[in-house]
Formats: sequence, structure tokens, C-alpha cells
Amino acid sequence: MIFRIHLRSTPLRHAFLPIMAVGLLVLYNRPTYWVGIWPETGAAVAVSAFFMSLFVAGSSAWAAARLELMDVRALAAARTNRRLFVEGNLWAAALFWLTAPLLAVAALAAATTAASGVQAGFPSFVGYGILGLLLVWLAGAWGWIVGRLLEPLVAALAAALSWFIIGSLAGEITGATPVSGPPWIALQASALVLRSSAALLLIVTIVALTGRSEDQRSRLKGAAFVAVAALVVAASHVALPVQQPRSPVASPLCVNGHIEYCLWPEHEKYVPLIRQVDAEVGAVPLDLPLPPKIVDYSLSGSTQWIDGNQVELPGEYAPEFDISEGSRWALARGVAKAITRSVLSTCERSAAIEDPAHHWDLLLAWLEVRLAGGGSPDYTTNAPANIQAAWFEARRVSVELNDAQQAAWAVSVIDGHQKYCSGA
Amino acid sequence: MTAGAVALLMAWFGQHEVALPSADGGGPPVPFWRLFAAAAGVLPVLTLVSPLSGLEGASSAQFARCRTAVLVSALVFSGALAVLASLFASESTAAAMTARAVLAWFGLALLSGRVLAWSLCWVLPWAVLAGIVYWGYDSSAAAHRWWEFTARPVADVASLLFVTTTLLAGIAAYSLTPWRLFNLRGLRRRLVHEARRPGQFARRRHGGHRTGVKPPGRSPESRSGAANRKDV
Repeated sequence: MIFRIHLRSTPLRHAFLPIMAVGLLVLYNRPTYWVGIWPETGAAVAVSAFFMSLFVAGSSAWAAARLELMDVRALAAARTNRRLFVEGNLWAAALFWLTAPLLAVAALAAATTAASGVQAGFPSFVGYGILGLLLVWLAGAWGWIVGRLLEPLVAALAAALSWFIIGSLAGEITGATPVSGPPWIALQASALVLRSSAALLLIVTIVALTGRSEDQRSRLKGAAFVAVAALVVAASHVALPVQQPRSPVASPLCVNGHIEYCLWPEHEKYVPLIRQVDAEVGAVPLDLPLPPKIVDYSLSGSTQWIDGNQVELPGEYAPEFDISEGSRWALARGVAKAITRSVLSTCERSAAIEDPAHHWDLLLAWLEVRLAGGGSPDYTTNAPANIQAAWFEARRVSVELNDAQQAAWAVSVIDGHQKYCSGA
Repeated sequence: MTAGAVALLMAWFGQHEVALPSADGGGPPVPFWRLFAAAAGVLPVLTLVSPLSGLEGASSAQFARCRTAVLVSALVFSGALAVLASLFASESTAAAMTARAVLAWFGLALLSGRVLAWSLCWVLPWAVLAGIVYWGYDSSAAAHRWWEFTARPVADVASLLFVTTTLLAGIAAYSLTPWRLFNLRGLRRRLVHEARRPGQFARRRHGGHRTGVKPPGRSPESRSGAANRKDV
């Protein structure tokens, strides 16, 4: 009953809409490649949660310090002796209104991705959602602590500023603020459980904090309890890394065309893009020896993470492409590179003999622009000027010559490369 | 004291750079002194917080002058400490950038405080700060956007204009006391009445007087409340 009264009377109920607006702006006013990929959707929610948490910390401190700020300390001190009960209800109502915006944003994000019909990777969405929830909860708890302990006048500003610093440092050190959720990264359930339990402990312990109107001894006791809980939270975040490289899945999502393409199952929405690029592979105007299989980034098993270092394993592996944020040019470049390697496999690019005409790069850039469907690249580069000149020349060829002329040009490029093989 | 604490932290910790999430994923790391500058700009406005702010809003000119003096000295104190701290924390251009940013944050805080409540003066600056961190960098142009006043070069005209506008808006918001707003509303109402036909107002307010006859001894102007009360 008293909880419901607090729920309806806490000034934080007015914070619901503004904080949700912040979350929605951050979620949708950005490249929306996350739509249709569950782990990326979760990571997008976590990014929203970081920005919402900046306001959650400030609002929470403002609400906690408000009674004191309004100079009604005597009134606050004269309230019921069931202090923990009253304090608990106040805090629960505050936490409700501070958590609700994140849940609303997460629900909208989930609905957006669910509309695309992809199913693989939903547990990762929940995992990243929990990381976002932890951010908001810890920000709320931090704000409440600052609001209870610090001078009420500066509490909100101090909480907002300090949370900005704590949150960004914690993100750097413990991975608490993920910015993207690619399928080749797996969240560790054990770390999530540990962090959530510690956060819950802090949330419960916070009730022990008393206002500045109470006596010194109970204030110190409360602060000590909360300090221990805060240390537990910090330790839980440092103890286990939450993101770990993921091993290739046993049954990836494979698309058969002129080449076999295999994707992480979470990348199902890229199948039409793969088909478009494969159609362009079929339209290349000369017969090239194609690689039998190309796989998504980190899916070939050619590398392994040992003690935080990426180690190349010996042996033959399928070449990889990286559909960076849904970019057709990135995919085209990956496939073009694999085809170029396959075409010139008998003649590896020599490091010892400098090729003044850059035949390898000419062929690569020509295939790239054809597979990307023409136009200009969506990336910027800092490659050496002579290499960039070769790429530019190949793009010019793809526009100015017809298919038969392009085929003849490509043959001349492949032949020209033979002079610069490492074996020659 | 808090201004001192902010300045100390800024001097000690200001040059630490941290990677923050940005909309197009490629923003450069943000040095902490930019966050501290925001706090240094908001802090002076907190001197306006009072449990009796409603009463103080309707105060005499003498009290208002005193409050403004406190506000300006707090700004000078907090701003000077922040600039000094940024001299310690970073290279010399940071000091001018900090000074520029503190003024802009101060303007935004005044605006926020007037609209929401003085104790919520941090809300608008914080919203702008979040926007600057998240959308302020254009990685296709490899440059900060024109309104990113915390990171653009000191001599940047767009930033200077932005900061000046923000500061002026903040000062305008500060000078719009409840009393002046009240007068403005009265003025507007009076202007509207004069534009109307005489008698029209009385007919609308007193539906019974269909003939348009005014009640004896009461002119339409005297019913218009605000315009009348203003002269008391």
C-alpha cells in the first residue's frame, strides 16, 4: 500500500518520459544495422542504457537529497520509527521509475528486431539487456548513495559527474558498457550472474543509509554497510570478464551459389546481401577459379584466443569476409580478396619484388567494384598513394569498358602479375 | 569548496582519455577535462537553489542584485579554477577551450534552471553533454561537428557563435524573473484587448448580458486581471 503511494507521489515519476526519450534517441538516431541481429540489438540497448544511466544517477541523487534540499529535516526526522520500511519503500519506488525507461526501450528494440523474423541469438540479447540493466541499477544506487551522503545542494551534479567518470572507466576496464555485440563474441553467463547478484546486494543494502537528519552513529553504520556492498560490486566486475571470443559454431548458416558462403546463424538477415554479391560473382565476364567456400568473420577456426592473444593456427582454412555493419562494400572486398587469392594462388604476391603496376591490387579492386555493384566505396583508406591509384584505375575500367573489354583487361592483369611471383 | 574539488580532480585526472560510445562508432577518446568543464559551468547556478525560490523570484531589486553578484562571483571563481586546472592537465589551448565551454555550460544551466527548477539546472547541460559525446563527431569527415563547442579549435567561428548564443539565452532566461514574466503576460493581454472591439470581452465573460450592456461601474479592462493588478 505504502509502496503504491510512493509510486504515485515520487517526483521521479516525471523522469520516466525524459529518460526514455534519451534512450530512444540514442537507440534510433544511429546506423541501424542492429535491426534484425539479436546480439547487436542487445548491445544497442546497452549503449542506450549508458546514456540513460547518466540521467538516472543525477535524478536518483536529486530525489534522495530533495527532502533535505527543501529544508524539512525536522519533518523527516519526526517520521515513523519503522525507518527501514519507509526508506525501503521510497527507494523501491525510485528504482521502479528509474528502471522503467530502460525496460520500455529494450521492449521497443526487441519488437523492432522481432519484426524481421530472425530467431538465432535471442539469449545474447537478454545478456546485453542485463548488462544495460546493471548499468541503470548501479547508476541509480550510486545516485542514491551520493544524495544521502553528500551536501544536498551539489548531490545531483556530483552524482551525474562522478557516474559519468565511473561508468566510462568501468566500461573500459570491465566491459560493462559494450558498444557492439558481434556474433563472434559470447557473453559469459557466470559473469552476468555474479555481477547481477552483487548489484542486488548493493540495492538491498542501500536501505541502511540514513538521511543527514539522523544521528551520526546510525549514519556511519549505514555508510559502512553500503561501502562493503559497493566493494563487492567492484570486485564482481573485475573478477570475471563478461565478453569472450566465441568458437565457430558447428552448424553455421550456409548459402550455396557460385561459391558456398557460411554465416554465423545470427547474421541471417545478410542472406539477401550474400545472394546479391553472389549474382555479381556469376556475372564476372570471364571464368575464374573460384574458392569453394568463404565464411563469415572468425568462423573459419583459423585463429584461436590464447590468454587474450589471437594466435594463427597452422593449416588450410576457408577465407573469411567481414560484413562490417551491413556494408556491401565490406562483403564485396572480402569475397574479391578470396577470389583474387584463388586466381593468383599459383603465384603468390612477392614481398621481395616490387610490382610497379600493382597487378594484384588492380584485379582485387576490379572484382571489388563489380561485386559491390558499382559506385564508390563506403570506406575511407590511408593506403599508399600508388596502391590507391591502382584501385582508382580498376574502378575506371569497370565503368568505361564493356564486359568483353573488361575480360581482356583482366586476363592481361593476371598475365602481367606472373612476372612478380615469389616463385618466379 | 566543491568548485575546488572539481578543479583538483580536473588537474589531477583531466588528461585521462576514455573511449565513449558514439553514434557512428568512430569517435576519438574524450579527455575528462571536458566533463569537468561542464560541472564547473553548472556549479555557479546551484547558488540560486533555495527552498523559498518562489518568494525570492518576486524579490526586490536590491535582493536580485545581490543574488546576481553572488552568481557572477561564483562563475568567476569556478571558471578561473577550471581554467587553471586545465592548464595543469593539458596543453595550453585547453585553457581557452575550457573557458569557452564553461561559459556555454553556464548559459545552458541558467536556461535549464529557469525552465525546470534551479535544483535541476544540471539536466539540460547533461543532455547536451550526452549529445556532444554521442553525436558530436562525424567520422566520414574525420572532424567534430560545428556545434561541438567543447572540442572544436579555439578560433572556430561557429563554436564561438554557438557559445555566445547559449550564454545570451541563459542570461535572458535568468533575467526573466516570475515578476517580469507576469508583467509581460499583462502587456500581451492588454495589447490583445485593444485590438478587439470594445464590449466583446464583456459579452464573452458574462454570457447573461446578451445585449452587450456592460455591468455598471465595471469596464472590460478592469476584468482583465493581470493588466489591472500590475499597477497595484
